[in-house]
Amino acid sequence: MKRNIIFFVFFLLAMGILFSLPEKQTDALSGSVRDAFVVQQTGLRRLREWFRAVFSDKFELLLENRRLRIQNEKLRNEIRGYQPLQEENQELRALLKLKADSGCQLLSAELIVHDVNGWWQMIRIDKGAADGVRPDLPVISPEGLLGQTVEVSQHTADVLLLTNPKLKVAGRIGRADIFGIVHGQGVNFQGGAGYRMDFMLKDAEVSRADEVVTSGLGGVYPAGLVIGYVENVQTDASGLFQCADINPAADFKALDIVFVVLPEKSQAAPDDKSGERRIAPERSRPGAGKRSTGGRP
Amino acid sequence: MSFAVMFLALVLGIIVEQAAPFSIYIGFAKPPVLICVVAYYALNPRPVSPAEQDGRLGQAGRTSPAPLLSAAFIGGILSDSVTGLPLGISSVIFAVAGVAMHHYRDKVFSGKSVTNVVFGATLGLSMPLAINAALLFFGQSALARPETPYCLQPGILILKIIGSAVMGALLFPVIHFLLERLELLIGTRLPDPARPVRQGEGVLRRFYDDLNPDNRP
Repeated sequence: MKRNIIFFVFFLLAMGILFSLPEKQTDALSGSVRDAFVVQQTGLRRLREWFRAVFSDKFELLLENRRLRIQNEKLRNEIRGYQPLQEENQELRALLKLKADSGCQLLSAELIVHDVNGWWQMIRIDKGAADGVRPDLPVISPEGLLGQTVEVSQHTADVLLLTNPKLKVAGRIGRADIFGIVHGQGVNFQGGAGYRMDFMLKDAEVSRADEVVTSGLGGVYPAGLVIGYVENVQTDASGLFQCADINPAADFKALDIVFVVLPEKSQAAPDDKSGERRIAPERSRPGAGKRSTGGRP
Repeated sequence: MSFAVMFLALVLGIIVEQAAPFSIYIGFAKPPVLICVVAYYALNPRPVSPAEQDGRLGQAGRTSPAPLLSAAFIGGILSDSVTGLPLGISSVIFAVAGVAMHHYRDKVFSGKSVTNVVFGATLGLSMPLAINAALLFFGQSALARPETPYCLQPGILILKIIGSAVMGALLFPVIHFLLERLELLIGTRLPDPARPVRQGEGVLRRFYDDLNPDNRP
């Protein structure tokens, strides 16, 4: 009996120490445990993909390949169309002696865990502090904004998705300078996700299918990242502002490769040259979000 | 050796938990593998020493809570680290659930498989509730982390509780059987006296006993 009590006292003591550890220490401890499981998690994911590839119809792959080639050609044409505009923009900037955009880098990362804990919407990617990732960096998919990094270990990073109601982003209706706060609304029973944009001016003209982009205010997200598209607009409970339901631009069900937006080149991973490409974050200027978004509503 | 088996079971458990597919229809519940491993140690307490297990030393049948508490502590840390929950929450829940199971193990049902199904379902049912309560409490306090991104969605929580209970009921008998077989094979656990020892069981234990003359009966 006495021996049992000693064991319980030891357990309580260990728990007390664990709870009283500083946040930095607990982060280091959990980070090292997470890093230890990266290989297994990546391996299991590869295995799952291999099974899917083996048992899926190859005809589907051929069709996808054809579709991607067509899309690739279209995008190349589109880029060719932008080239004169870019040159003109550079000339005008030089004339006005404007400072060039600092530029951001996109670090490609692979998803290793789709739903980390089942309690809040979080994914885990295979890039961490060793690759230049740190907390509070935006993460995007080719379609649009996904969320931001929260917990970062040496070789992994947890990304809190924008579907989580606690994550808030300063948004702007791309067509006009209408600002608001975008936040997630959790997941519905069909597994779909949605956002809500609050605090838009009451007399602002917002219509269905308007593109919502990040405003760049707040410092975390660069301006111009596509968040979603307006589904419907109504006056909020106070009657002072408008709010809108937003359809996410990103497809959260089909995530595979994502991109971490690194703020400066010096913070990027030195060894990840293949997965990087430069983007120029847009400033909060009228018409910044007018670009095409690839056939979304 | 017993500790090595427990650690292996916990590590495999967390890998399975993380790799398991999820669905909205079960509220994104993960299979409660780790709590099932802890529950195994709660229902099958270890004798204080191997010699006592054979009734050769001291009071035969005296059990130690060390494996249960170790499994709860290590399992909790592994789970919280990998799932991103505030560190320590799962350890406390695992330990409380384990001690409760240990206390009531002889008082609920006599049938072993039925006991395992019922205990598995109860664990599955209580885990999401306990974690939810802990997140609501710890999430707002500075004890674990200043702020967790947890928001209560009652509909999802109900689905999660049902899903987790079903998975617990299905998983626990399987995990119990697998761990029992593994321990019998290695020899960290002795078979029931009424059952003859099967071929291959206890090979490592016999090897260990041969190396240490003190352990020979």
